[in-house]
Amino acid sequence: MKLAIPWLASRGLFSSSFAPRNNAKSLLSPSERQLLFVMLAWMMFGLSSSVNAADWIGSESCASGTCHGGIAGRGPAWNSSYSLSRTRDPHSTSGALLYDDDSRRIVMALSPDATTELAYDVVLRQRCISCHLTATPDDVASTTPLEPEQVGDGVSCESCHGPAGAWKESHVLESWTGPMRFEPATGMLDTESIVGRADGCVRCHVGSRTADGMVRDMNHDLIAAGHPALRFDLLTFNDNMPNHWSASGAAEQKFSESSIRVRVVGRLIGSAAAATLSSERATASLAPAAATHVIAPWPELSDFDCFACHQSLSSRAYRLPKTVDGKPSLQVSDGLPLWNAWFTSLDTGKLDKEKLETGKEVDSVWKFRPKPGGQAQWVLEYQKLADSYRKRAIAEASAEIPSATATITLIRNNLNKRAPRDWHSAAAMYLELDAAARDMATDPKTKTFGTIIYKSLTEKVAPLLLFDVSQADANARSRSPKDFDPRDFRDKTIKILEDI
Amino acid sequence: MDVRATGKSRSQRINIDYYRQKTWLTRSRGLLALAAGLAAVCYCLFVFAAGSASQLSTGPVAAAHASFESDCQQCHLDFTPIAGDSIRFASSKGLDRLEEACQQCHRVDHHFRSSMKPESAAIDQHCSGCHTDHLGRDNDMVNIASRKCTQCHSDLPKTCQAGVSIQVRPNVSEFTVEGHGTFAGLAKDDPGRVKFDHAQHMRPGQVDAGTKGGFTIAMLESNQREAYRKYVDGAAQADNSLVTLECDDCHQFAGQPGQKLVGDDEVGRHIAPIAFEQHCAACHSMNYRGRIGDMLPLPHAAPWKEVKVLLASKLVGSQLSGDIRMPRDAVRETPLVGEGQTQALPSPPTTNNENSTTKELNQAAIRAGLAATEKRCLQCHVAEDIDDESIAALRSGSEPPLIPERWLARGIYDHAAHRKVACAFCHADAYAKDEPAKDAKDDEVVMIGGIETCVGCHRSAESAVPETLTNQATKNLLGGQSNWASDACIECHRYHWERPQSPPAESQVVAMETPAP
Repeated sequence: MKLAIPWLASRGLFSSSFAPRNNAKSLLSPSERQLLFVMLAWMMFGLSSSVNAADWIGSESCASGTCHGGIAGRGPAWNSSYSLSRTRDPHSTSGALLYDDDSRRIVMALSPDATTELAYDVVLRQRCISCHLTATPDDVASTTPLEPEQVGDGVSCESCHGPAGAWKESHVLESWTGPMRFEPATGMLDTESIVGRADGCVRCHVGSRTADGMVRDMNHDLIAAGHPALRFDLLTFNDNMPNHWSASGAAEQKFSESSIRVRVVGRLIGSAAAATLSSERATASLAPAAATHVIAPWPELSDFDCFACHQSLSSRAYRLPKTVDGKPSLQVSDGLPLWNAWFTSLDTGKLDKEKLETGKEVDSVWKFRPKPGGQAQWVLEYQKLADSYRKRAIAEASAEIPSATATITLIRNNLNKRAPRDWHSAAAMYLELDAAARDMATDPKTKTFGTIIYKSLTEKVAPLLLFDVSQADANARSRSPKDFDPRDFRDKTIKILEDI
Repeated sequence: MDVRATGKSRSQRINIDYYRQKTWLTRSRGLLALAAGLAAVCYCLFVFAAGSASQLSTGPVAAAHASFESDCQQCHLDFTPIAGDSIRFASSKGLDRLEEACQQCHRVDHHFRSSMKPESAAIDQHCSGCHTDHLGRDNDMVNIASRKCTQCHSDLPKTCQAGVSIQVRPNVSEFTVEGHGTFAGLAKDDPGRVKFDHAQHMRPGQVDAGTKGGFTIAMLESNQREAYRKYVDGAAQADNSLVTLECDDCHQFAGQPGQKLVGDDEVGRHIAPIAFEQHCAACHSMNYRGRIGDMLPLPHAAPWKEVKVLLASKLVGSQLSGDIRMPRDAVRETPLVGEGQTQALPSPPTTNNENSTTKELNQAAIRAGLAATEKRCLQCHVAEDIDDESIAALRSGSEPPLIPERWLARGIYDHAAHRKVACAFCHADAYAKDEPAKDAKDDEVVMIGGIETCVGCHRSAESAVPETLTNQATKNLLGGQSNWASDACIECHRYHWERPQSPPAESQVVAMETPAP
């Protein structure tokens, strides 16, 4: 604080006269300045971490054969949840892969000086382990070699369920039931509700600069160094998790009764997390470099649509589809990329972007485009946006189950009007159709149609969205849809839907 | 009157031919001689014809010696008594002959003889000082009267030479708390080095009351379920029933371990040592990252080098069989949009075409596996017991086991003789308390009742039944067992050390005095 307070004062954050009219900060009310100060303090001192370090007791505390390390397939699901999670779940290998060739390439690109094993581990601590391991702020700050045990554990139980020291004893009590289990005071994280489970994922799969007192920021530097960009989709991720829980339990009913709802809520929570991260990035960019492990630039390019800039410069790539008013969209190549295109680039369907944004009829394409400076204002704007998404997610989680056939009809009608603007729009449409087809396939009345649509989409449409990863050399892989053709996507999708 | 006696008168006072006169004795001597002769004949007939050997011996020898009962010279020299109060022709020779005969079969070592004063050493020198034969076939020569022990142990300083360090209680006079003192084996800190919670294991499902998630029969491997399934009124527990452990699920009768004292193995039955594979592995098998299906668990107490090899083979083997997911394994139930199922599985390392990524990943996984396994070991063991050197010493038997085979190092306890008595009578601390926080922890407390637990029943025949044994709860624990038992020293203690193959030096003999931990 001794260092920070003079610095903050010098920036006028403690002064009521801090409001030059032509400065973005001048728009801040006193309460907003207070909020900004608190967020900045969090960024620098990790105050958001209210967890006691001693509460992190490691996954071995769950591993007894009589608790969660039992033999998979025998007894109740909870008895073998550790066994399944540690052998089948990709999270279990997320630590080990930090030492493979791809990871070494990424680290070398980030820190060419990290030529010794110790230096390599220090880079991993500062840049990687907050997501790739079950780690604490102390682990991140340490400058010692990583412990093999921690690396081997990867992302383990406590990453998703919360530090177990706080609830290890109480979670076996017969009285440990219902929503009280996930009250903040217990320390156990909610993995049963759609919102709760999505919240658990997005801390890493979207990112955060404050959650758990650590920085988990998949920024442009990391992506440029070779790490894949993050595109969170709760339904897909949930599918790919081996069920180390009872799939027939009451908690899972919410996930099985409507894929559309899971996908919608997941995308809204992802959007909220992305907006919060943008806000935190803006906050971090105001902090002195010494206060953070990683310098936070502003604007942070990973906040925006990658493919707006990373695209082929051939003339063919500019054959953009015309919008309904006959003008080509400028969202792709005009240098003003969409903010978080993965979440917001929705042409149609239930997640109309303009309804998501505080109810105002504003064009997010323009409002949230990258602009230098004015971070203090952006801190609040993104936070408001995050709050809006979150409220909507909570409402959607308990809303009536969306109609699968209505969703399919809506998308088909929109596709008939125009092709998707870009890969992101098409991907969003595909995911909505995929969720609707799943729901139809689980309804006895529409099972046949649903199954056919799902199979056709998987076999004929999903390949159109694949990135070009044909290069054997990982460095040469583009991980971008440079050959994606929106009209081909529209034609094939409409044919499937109309054939049905 | 002249009264002077003359020679004649004097001679006449005695009948001069008195010897010619027949008395009743002379008249009947023939008869008496005949009677004596007849009596002798009858006695001879009685001794030899009727087979009454008691007339020729002090009594029948014990059953163990019956085979040479008619061969006195096996033990004795002709006309050479051994009793101290006999007319001694050559008493030491007779005793020496007897000792030689005893030791022909009973190869036992002496009992700290070198530390004794000469008179006590003489007692130790001679078997017959304590073991008396010719008291009938059923005579138990081992059942030594307590006074044979207390003649020395009631005042050991008197028995021992000056300067001898006495390592046992110097004055044991009787089997009472005051007269005997605390059991030496229980007076020290707990020598057990395995962390274990008896109370937790004794609860149904091994969980506390008011908690959920108890361990059920179904969670066991199928071939283990019958071993732990209980029957109530003939009805078997269902698979979803809680595993309820009884003492004998883990503690089985066995011979007396640590056979250092003569007769240890003959007396009753001890409890077999706990073995991980037999008693723990059903619920606590050693697995790296849990266990899927038929994946083999790691062996217990294997050297670390072996563990490393096994982990490596298990890891690679399980990856190839699909039981364990590989790092960079991009196989997904649902492909990611854009990414799809695009990445091939890294190929396993081969001798000709080593895939460095796979090798690095697996080496990292093996390092992690070793660290995780070590942490698993430390749940029950302390760090100094799990290095290779300690493991090798334990496996070879050169170091005592981590759970002592014998807690009462100087006494013998016969579990079989007490089989009617409930375990809780002596091992109350092992049982769960109403509040788990009050449970005694096994590696902190020796859960064996002290002498106070024994003296209620093991008391002198004349003493009254103590009040502590009269309440119904105690009676229930006794299970119908008599509330009186002998308090003789020989019930628990033995005297002789086994004689080593080559006679030990005196210093070695004394070294054996140190009780096992």
